[in-house]
Amino acid sequence: MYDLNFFLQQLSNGLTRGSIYALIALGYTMVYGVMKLINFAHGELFTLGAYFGYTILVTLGLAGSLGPPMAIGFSMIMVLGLVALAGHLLERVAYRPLRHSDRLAAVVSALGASIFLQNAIMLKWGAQYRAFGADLLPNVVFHIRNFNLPLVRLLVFVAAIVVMAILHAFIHRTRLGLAIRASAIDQGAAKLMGIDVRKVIALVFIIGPALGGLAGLLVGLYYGQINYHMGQMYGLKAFTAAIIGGIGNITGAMVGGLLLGLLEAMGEGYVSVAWKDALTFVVLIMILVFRPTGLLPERVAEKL
Amino acid sequence: MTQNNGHPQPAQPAQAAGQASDRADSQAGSQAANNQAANNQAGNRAQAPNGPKSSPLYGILTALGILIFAFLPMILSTLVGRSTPYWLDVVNTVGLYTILALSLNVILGHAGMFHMGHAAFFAIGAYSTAILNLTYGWSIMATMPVATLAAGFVALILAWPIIHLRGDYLLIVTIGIVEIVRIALTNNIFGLTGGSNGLVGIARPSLFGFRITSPKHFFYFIWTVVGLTILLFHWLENSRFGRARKFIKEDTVAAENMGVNTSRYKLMAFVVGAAWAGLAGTIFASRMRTISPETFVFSESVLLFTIVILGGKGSQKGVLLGSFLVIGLPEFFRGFEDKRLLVFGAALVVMMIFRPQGLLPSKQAHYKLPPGWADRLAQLPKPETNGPNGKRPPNGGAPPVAKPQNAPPEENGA
Amino acid sequence: MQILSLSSVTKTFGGLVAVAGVSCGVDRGAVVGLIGPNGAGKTTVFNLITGSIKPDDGHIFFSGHSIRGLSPHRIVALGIARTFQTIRLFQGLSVLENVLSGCHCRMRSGLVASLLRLPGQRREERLVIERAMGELEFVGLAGLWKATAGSLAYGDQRRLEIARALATEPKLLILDEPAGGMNEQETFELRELINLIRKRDITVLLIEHDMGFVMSVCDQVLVMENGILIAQGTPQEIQNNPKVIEAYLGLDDDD
Repeated sequence: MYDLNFFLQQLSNGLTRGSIYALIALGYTMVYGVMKLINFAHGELFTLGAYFGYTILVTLGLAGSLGPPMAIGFSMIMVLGLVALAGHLLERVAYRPLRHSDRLAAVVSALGASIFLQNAIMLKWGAQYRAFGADLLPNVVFHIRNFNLPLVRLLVFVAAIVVMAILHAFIHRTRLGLAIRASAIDQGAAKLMGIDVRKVIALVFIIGPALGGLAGLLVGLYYGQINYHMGQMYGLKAFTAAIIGGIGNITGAMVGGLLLGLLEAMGEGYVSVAWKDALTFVVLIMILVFRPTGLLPERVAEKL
Repeated sequence: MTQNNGHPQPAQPAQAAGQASDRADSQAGSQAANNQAANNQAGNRAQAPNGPKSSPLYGILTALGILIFAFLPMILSTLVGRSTPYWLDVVNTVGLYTILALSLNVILGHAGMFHMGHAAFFAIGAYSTAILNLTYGWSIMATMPVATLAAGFVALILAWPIIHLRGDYLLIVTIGIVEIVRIALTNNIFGLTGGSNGLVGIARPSLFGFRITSPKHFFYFIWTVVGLTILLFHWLENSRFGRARKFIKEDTVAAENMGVNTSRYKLMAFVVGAAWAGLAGTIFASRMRTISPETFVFSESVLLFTIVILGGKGSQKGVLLGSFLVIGLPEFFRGFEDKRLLVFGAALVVMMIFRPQGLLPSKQAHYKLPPGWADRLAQLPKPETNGPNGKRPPNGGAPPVAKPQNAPPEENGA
Repeated sequence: MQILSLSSVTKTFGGLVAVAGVSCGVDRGAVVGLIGPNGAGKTTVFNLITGSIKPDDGHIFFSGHSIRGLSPHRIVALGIARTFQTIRLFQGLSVLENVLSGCHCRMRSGLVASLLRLPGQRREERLVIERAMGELEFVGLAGLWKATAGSLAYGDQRRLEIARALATEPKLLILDEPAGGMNEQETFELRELINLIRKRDITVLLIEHDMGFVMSVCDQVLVMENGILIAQGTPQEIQNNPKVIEAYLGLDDDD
């Protein structure tokens, strides 16, 4: 039973899951890098993306009228835009007024925003699980020798990777990307160099949530069902991924996400399903205690 | 936590009244002693130099509060008649959350450690009681010290490696802890915890042969514990221990360099808070008679966190108020039950923007000088403080404050 | 008799050698000054002594015991107290409470005694307040005992820091730029204060940039430059030491 097939199965599963975690983790890491703040509401933005996708595809019936490929493509773009907007609003309401206050206030506000959003989502869409996506994509499965690869899995993975590649290019090849990186290293110095840090913050709160929202949509498509509560678990896990890669490190978030997905899939397959979540948390705690800078080599020297 | 107690029996007035006065007396007794220290003015210097605010108003309010609580069941039955047990239940829930929030306050408010995993220790206490009672037949009150110690012990083990973590990291780790505990409980760890269905049929506590069963009984039981908690933690706060935590919260590096073993105190604060949550867990288990992992989810920690932050972290009065607002208020707006969290979330954000110190923030500690100092101080020339930033006017504008005494002060042994 | 001795103490940060093989001693009961241009490593030496950072190499002995690697609070308990270059008072707390923080390490009341407010704890509290007020009186701030530390004038804040350090009952008092930002009057009072501290049989080690102050109050002066101890001796000797002069004024072809 534990043969190559099984391994490949877990591998592909893990990679796909990991790519989703990576997308969400990017949101955490980008915000943290610039603001040194953990955006607790990020998980809820992820959930929002899923529900927006649901609304577009199912409630509005676009899946039927446009046909799956168009509909999904359209919904991806819409979700990116809508959640980006939501993220921006969140930043203006809950974080911007506290820019000069102490850390605890910002953390509490983030928490409050997270609670508010989660509850708002529940009130708007109900507490029960919503299904979508399962019948949207053709149930095509690729057979490679003995290994089964569902189309959905491949698509989700590819979509995530493509988006991350675009982001990577943006961060490392454009001036705005440079501004973001500079602000992440030293906000003060960036300001002195003429970078408008407020704009950078606003930008980071648009890109990050957008990615998270997209991840939500992908989860809906991949797993077939969503729930108002899912942001919490995914959020925590994605945060773990961001920590693994070194919080603030964008490439790290991508790598960390993939790693975590693989770890989880392997754990699920070879150890036990019930404890897989606990495993993630144990990993998180281990890393925070022993190597809080993440598994990737340190880039910036510690200031004493 | 659900509100249903499942015990509709009417209270027995005579017996309960007798019990009421007993408990009221003991409660009043301890409060009166506190008041005496509080109202200590020029006279009895033999009292402890630290004390709560010594205004008469404070004493009157406390006495009033005691009276109200002593006779609350009677008051309620005149107000709401048949549904008295229900409202007593609400008050009991408020009381239980107050105990929990006060214990979280020790960690979050006083020591300033971000902590979202408090429900885990509550769970450990509750489950310890449940297991000991159901599997081994222990009486509830006997399980209480064990539950307290168990929660404290687990806190010690868990906190040791993470105590050095910075604020937001600590927060995340504590979230992770509470999730791990919940998962462990759901997965029926060691075969003891009954899995996701939990444990059923926990006994009622009995104190000196008296079985505590009805909401009225629990009312006195719980609120006596609340009073005790407030008293003990108040003493703790106004002591060397409490001061150490204040120093750590203000400036950890400076505290360490003044000889405060910062790691040890943070750890102790954590353990004390956790242990007390375990104690609350015992009460909860015997009140609900059924516990399951669902009760101890992350959102419970959020609720407690909200209570402490809203009320004003570090302040016991604030926590009490916060508890009433967060738990009690929604009861009055039954229709808004499901919008509860919405309001709390928004409230947290709004509070942080407009009043981050909480509704009833803690005041400065109040010290009394030992006898003789009042005169000594009166003899010194009046010193000058120059505004909030304290910069002296340039070049000798201000007269110097009293020159240092020429004789070295007596070295009073510590 | 030397109360403090460093032997070949070295500390490196990344690629930068902050302290390179410093060996020196402080005599008991003396007032010793540590001077040098900015970046010479003086505060690093202080941090090494007080345990905030650990040396990479070398030894530090206090009253005969090695204190290398001990955590700061242990070193305070052994008898070394310090003030900070950038005042690190507990700004939000009262003046009295700030001094009480120094008393902390000399008290014994533990968790249970505090929780239950046992008689022994109450007595100890009274004694400790007495002592704290005594220290405040010593530095001349007794009347301000109720004030919030952050509201004090700058010079008073420095004095409060000293009172706080004295409350730990130190044998060695380390002052990091105690005269920083003080005017003539305040500097004069500080000098008086240090002499009084010396009378209490407390050894004083201080960093200062005010040369007049250092020369007038110190028995011994140590000079550092670029992490190396380049001279030590009496103020007279130091003032005439060519290496010291070069360090402060620099040669023409130096950068």
